[in-house]
Amino acid sequence: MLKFVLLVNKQGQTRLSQYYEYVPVEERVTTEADIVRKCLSRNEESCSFMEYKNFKVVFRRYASLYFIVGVDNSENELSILEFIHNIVETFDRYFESVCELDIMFNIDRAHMMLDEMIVNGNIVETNKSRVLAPIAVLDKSNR
Amino acid sequence: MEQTARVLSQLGSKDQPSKEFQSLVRQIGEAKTKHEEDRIIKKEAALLKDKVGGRDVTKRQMREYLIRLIYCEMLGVECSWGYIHAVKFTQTGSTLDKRIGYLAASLFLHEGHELNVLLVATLQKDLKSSNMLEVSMALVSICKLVGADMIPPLLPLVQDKLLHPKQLVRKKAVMAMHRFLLLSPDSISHLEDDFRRSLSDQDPGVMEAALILFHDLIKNGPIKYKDLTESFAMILTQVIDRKLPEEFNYHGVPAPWMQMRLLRILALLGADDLRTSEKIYPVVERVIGSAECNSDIGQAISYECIKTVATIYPNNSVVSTTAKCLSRFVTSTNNDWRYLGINGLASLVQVNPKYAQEHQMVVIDCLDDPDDTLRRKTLDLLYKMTNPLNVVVITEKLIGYLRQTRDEYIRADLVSKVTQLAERFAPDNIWFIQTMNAIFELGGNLVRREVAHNLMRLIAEGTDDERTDVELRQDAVSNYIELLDKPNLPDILIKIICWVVGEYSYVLEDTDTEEILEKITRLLMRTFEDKTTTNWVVSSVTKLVARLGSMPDNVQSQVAVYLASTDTDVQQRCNELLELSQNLSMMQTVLPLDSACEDLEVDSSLSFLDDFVTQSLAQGASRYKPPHLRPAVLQRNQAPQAKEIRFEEYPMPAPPSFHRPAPLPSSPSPSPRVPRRPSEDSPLSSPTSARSQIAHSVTTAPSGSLQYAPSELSTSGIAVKTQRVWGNKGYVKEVPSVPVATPPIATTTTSPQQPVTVATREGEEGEEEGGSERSERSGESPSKPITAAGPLVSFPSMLANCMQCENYEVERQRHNRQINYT
Repeated sequence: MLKFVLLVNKQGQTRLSQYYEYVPVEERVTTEADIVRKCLSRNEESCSFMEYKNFKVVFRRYASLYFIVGVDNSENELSILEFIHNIVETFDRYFESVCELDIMFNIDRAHMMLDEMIVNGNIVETNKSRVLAPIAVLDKSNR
Repeated sequence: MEQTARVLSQLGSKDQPSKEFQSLVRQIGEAKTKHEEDRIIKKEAALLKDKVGGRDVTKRQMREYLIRLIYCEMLGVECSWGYIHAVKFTQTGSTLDKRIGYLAASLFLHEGHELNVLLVATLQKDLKSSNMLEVSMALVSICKLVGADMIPPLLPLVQDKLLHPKQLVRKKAVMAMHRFLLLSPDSISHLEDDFRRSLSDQDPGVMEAALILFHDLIKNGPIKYKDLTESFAMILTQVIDRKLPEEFNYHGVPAPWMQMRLLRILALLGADDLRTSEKIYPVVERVIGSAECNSDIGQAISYECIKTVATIYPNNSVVSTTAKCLSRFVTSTNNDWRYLGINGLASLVQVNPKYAQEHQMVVIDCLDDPDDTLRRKTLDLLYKMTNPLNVVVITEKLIGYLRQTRDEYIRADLVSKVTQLAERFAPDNIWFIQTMNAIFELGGNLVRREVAHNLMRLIAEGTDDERTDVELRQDAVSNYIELLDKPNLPDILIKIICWVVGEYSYVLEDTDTEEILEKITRLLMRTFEDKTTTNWVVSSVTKLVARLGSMPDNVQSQVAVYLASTDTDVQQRCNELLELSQNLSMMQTVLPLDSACEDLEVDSSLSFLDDFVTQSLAQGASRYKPPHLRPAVLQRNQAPQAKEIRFEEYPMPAPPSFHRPAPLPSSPSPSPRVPRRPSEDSPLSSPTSARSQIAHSVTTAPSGSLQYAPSELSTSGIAVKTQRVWGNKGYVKEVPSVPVATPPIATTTTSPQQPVTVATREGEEGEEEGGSERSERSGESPSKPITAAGPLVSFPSMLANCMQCENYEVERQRHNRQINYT
């Protein structure tokens, strides 16, 4: 089960956060800062996985942005790593070559895409066209 | 800057952000420190607070405000004043507005939040909407926000959606059911058939959602679903045979996450069950065969297979195929793969330890790898690989890691692991004690208390061999005496040391008991986290003093300090010590050497005090009275105990005695009253027209039980001036054309009397009113007293009241007069 998804940049600023288990706001900020610090301190060859408190953290770096997913102990870490890549590819398709600023200006769309993909802490949809279809309809209806 | 322009130009159909939003994003982007970011966000939150409550906020502006609120919360500033706006926004507006409203609500609120209740009605409405997007966003929000108490109103609507024509809606409905399952499994236990239908849905997306649902259903109880094993195996086979549409491929691999989920389900179904596992072997072998070994995703699937095979009933050929697959992980240079390899080894080793042998070298390398995560995982593997041959080496490694780690979770984990290994595989007692000492020293507060007691018992009971016992104790005692010199030992270790040293210091012939006593006494000066530790220290001192045969002065003074301790246990022990130390030879008999395991004989009749008792009785002391003969208890027992339910009526309360004023001139004729429409309701029931009221009351009065405002009750002639402004018609400001007053009558205990009273009233009404338009409620006769002597009080109650009244006779006559009016 996934516990949270975070997008954090190299300076430690959170660009997107979605939690699948309730955590109070103050606690989130401290946890995020802690996890990011640990991720930043790892070098290139080491694992993309980390044990943190009583759960695991899988992270992957794309340019200046770290995609961090917290999972419980029953998850397959490599599959989550690939899932992160899938998320990035989906964003890429929607934003046409996504960058950090894209996410900052369109945080609502980013959340909606994640909502399509992850439900109740489980990976539900990995088919990019299906993830983007409802969002496209929403965009069209807004025109 | 150009980047911003480019991004903004690409927004296309989306809303162009306002200048404020752009500047917010820019500022956050450029903020150099967390502090600065905080400042910006707090300012933004304050700004939004003003704007959001404004009156002319357009929908578009509101959308943006909500998004900016999301930002604020994400960056750590709680904006609970904004939540209600998100909730409101879901209720009106276009589809996009609704979506943004739901998004904001699902990010701000959480299960159990008080505002969730407001969403239920909106969710129900949206679930019934014909716009499929609205239905799906309602379903998504259900997954995020609903608590167990919100399930009943939503369940039937969601169940409907399981059959919706659009796959998007069906899929989300299945996930909503999944959410209900997580909250309260019983709420959906009747929908098994619907779920099975979703599992065989034409659309793979819906089927995948159903897989998730079944995964959790099976986790709760696999037996019911064993019959589905073949179906799952068949689905998996179809997936790897590329029967799904191409768009479900990820980098050429067909639906990898679906494959992994199916593997997990099969693992749960096949665990410990040979027959079910036999159905699974062929498909797992096929998956391993078809998985691409060069890509991450292929390896992820292989890893899942390894875990599955390790969980289900073992089969040699399948396991060996899996082991081959595993070696690719372990021998790779990619740290991620090695990590998984170690994990996989840990699970396979439980099936058959020989696999660990093959990869020993790799494992040892990983132990010293610079990567921290890998090292930790290798320790886990070692723990699972332990056997009596390698336990010493492995525990050494584990303790080494324990020494240098600071993380509390890791330390607790390691402590429990080492304890278990030591208890299960210890080669000999001395090693065991040494290992446990190290553990206590490094993580004393994390160890369970039973472990310490086991250790002490081990030393006390020993084995049959006297010599090993003595050696053991000598070793233990000398170790502990050395440890005493270290500062900051955990409490549990201190307790053990005190006890062992106290009991067994005599086995070391060449040590100076006085020195040991000195060290232990010094411990008395420390304050411990666990208060009971002091007791152990005092006991130890006691035993050592007995052994020594004399009580040194400094010990005496130290112990005396504790005589005044607030802890009674400590006080008692100190007292005992000081008393015993007066008579040292007796002390040595009382505290014999090496008798920790002997039973104590207790003379419970205290026969040794018989002389003392006879002496005291002779001198006039009173005999012992057992508890049941003592006066206080006897008294208590004689008092009436039964608390029975009282069935008789309570007497009416005594009226306050005071001088009754003379009745006012306007009162001789009872005020016109019309009995109110009889109803069970309170006097403030819904208004009815005066006419119907009267008609109704006339017809039903004789049987009705009339209720009257108690405020107008007055007993034995208290002149109470009340002006009724509330009545059947609600608040009355003016006089109605027909008198519609409702006279108050005390509710009586005996109903047969009522008809009399009512009839009385009617009679009066007929006689007295005649067209009078006074209503008791009208403000026109404010001075009208409402007297009990009027038709207000029924006879029995009045009688009861008047029993205490001095002018009972007078009252009775007056009442008779009323009755005569009929």
